[in-house]
Amino acid sequence: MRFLPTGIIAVLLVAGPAQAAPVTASLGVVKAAMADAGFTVTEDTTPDGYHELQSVMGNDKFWVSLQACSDNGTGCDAVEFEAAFKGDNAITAARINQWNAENRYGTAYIDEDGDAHIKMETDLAPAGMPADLFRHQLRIWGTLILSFENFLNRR
Amino acid sequence: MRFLCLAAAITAIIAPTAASAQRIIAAPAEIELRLKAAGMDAVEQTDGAGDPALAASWNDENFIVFFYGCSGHRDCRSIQFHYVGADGTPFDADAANTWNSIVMFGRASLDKSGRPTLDMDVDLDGEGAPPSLFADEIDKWKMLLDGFISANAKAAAEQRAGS
Repeated sequence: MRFLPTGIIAVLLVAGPAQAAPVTASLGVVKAAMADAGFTVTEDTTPDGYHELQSVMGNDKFWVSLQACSDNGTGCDAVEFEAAFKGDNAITAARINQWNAENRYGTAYIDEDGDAHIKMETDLAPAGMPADLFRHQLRIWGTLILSFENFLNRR
Repeated sequence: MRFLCLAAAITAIIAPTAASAQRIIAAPAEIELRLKAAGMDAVEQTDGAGDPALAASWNDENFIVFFYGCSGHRDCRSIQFHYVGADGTPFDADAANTWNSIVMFGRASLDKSGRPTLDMDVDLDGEGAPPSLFADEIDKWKMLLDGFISANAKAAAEQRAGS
């Protein structure tokens, strides 16, 4: 009877990343996943009483909110990342359209105060997103927010 | 007896890997199958850059699935659902802005010809997305596409009625 050498057994036993739990649309779970990816995250409550997360990318603040929730605020299916930049009514819909036509993942819009927003929704239904894929989403978001700020500054 | 224990241990290590292999990556044949399973039509093509693409349709409306992050026109890492409407509609930059301020997941814009366009990006990096999550993405695209076309049709009808 032949057996595998002890060294190969050791490699087999330690090979492969740990199967981290999927990221679901829960503020605590999302906060932990963002912190694990290196973000500094705080919890906040909006004037309407909704709980959300706040963080920063470079000098840009952004917030993360749960979306597609049931009426009692539970059973959410997605998160939305969003950042806003003061526009002083100098940003046009045509310029924002240029961003949306040329870029992926994020969506830009101007609000009623003339401020420019960049947002990205991440679908976490029905059973969450694998942690590695969510971490990639965070990298995409980080790149988006900085790229959008550069775009706005290149008027 | 020791050989059986070793075989069991190796099986236990391999099993999680098999489960993770069930995730959906940006492979054209796989995506085509998933779209068809969801009631869509889909045919594999190649885009202008030589990367894979799918010519697809839902509710008699045509759209394209582009593949991005490809290496040598394969091993792609994400896809984009892309719909372009007819020109000559009242959909303008302000309408696109309103849509984008309200609607989640889909991104509206005007293309260089002024045609209303709807995009939805799906990240399938690394080992990809679980089948249930990808199925949910397809459902979202269906709702977005139906809603976008319906909104544009309504706006066009209102414009005709007012003229």
